[in-house]
Amino acid sequence: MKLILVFLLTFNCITAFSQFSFSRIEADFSIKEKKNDGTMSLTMGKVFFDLNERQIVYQITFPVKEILLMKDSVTYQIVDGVVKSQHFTGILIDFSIFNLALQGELPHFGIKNTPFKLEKTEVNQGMVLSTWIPPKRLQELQGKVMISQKNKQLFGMVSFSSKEEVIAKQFFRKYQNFQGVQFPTEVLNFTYFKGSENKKITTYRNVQINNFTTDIYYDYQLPNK
Amino acid sequence: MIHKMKTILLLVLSLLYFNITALSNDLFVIDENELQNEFAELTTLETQILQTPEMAVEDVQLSLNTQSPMYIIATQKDGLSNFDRGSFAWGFCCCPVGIFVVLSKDDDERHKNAELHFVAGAVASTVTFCCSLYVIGVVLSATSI
Repeated sequence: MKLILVFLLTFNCITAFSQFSFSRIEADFSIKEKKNDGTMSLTMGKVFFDLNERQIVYQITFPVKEILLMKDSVTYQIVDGVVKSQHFTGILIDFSIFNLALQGELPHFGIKNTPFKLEKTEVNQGMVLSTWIPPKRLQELQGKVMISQKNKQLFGMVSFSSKEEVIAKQFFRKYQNFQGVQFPTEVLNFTYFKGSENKKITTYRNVQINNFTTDIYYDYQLPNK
Repeated sequence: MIHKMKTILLLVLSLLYFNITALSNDLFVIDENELQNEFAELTTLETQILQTPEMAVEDVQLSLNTQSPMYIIATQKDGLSNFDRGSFAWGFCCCPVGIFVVLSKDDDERHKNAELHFVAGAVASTVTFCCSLYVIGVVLSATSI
């Protein structure tokens, strides 16, 4: 009887705590970008994301020290503790690579839980390709989305315009297992606009999951304007 | 004759299928050499900064030719304000499709789902809690007897 009691209590505890398994992620990042006008840029720093705070904090160290806070669909640029500017950037938190990775939704980009409809799936050369169609009311703005998976991990995503032109490609590579979270340490972005192409490589290093030793950036508070 | 026609049709359809599949796969091909060559300079700079974290923009500026396409990075003294901020955000978030996916989510539907999940979760946890209490009660009474 005592064994049953212990089992029940343990089971309850496991169930309760498993809900909060992965809530924080931080990493060093660098973004190398080549723009369509031939110019190049490099941005480096550290990024913090807390699932419960629902904000992404970029502590940028190069080229200039500053903080970018993405919260409530707005990106704030903070320099020396003062909000220098703010811009509407859309509700991106849900579909950030950090949120999707922590929630275990990265393999399908979280698209399964959206009104996008699966049109077809094919398997070829070790890749699983799935094609998703946007809801009718968005079909004038957005075409289909193709997602490829390798070894059950998200590998690539191709986004089409309503005219069936490729408007963006994204690749997720060099996955590593960080305390049970599969995270791509390299993300390639290609965006196409009016015949020109932007290329970007984002690299993540020193990825840490559930670092509760510091809160400074995870619950970063927006300074008074 | 009909048999031949069927064979040809089958052959054409097969070729068409393989062609489509090949086209789909081509979309996910990356030209590694081209990528490495294009980003060679930036990768070198990235390595330098990783080795010398204190490296400032001015240091980079000194080491660059003003004609270099990378010179731009040394002139961003106003930080990211001159950068394409939207583009910066895409580096972290998954593609423009993210916006469309978010837009396509009906807010009302999301709220309804959230409420439904909350109620379901509350009911489930209450039921579990009551069951646990009942079992604990039974166990305790059995052991006391």
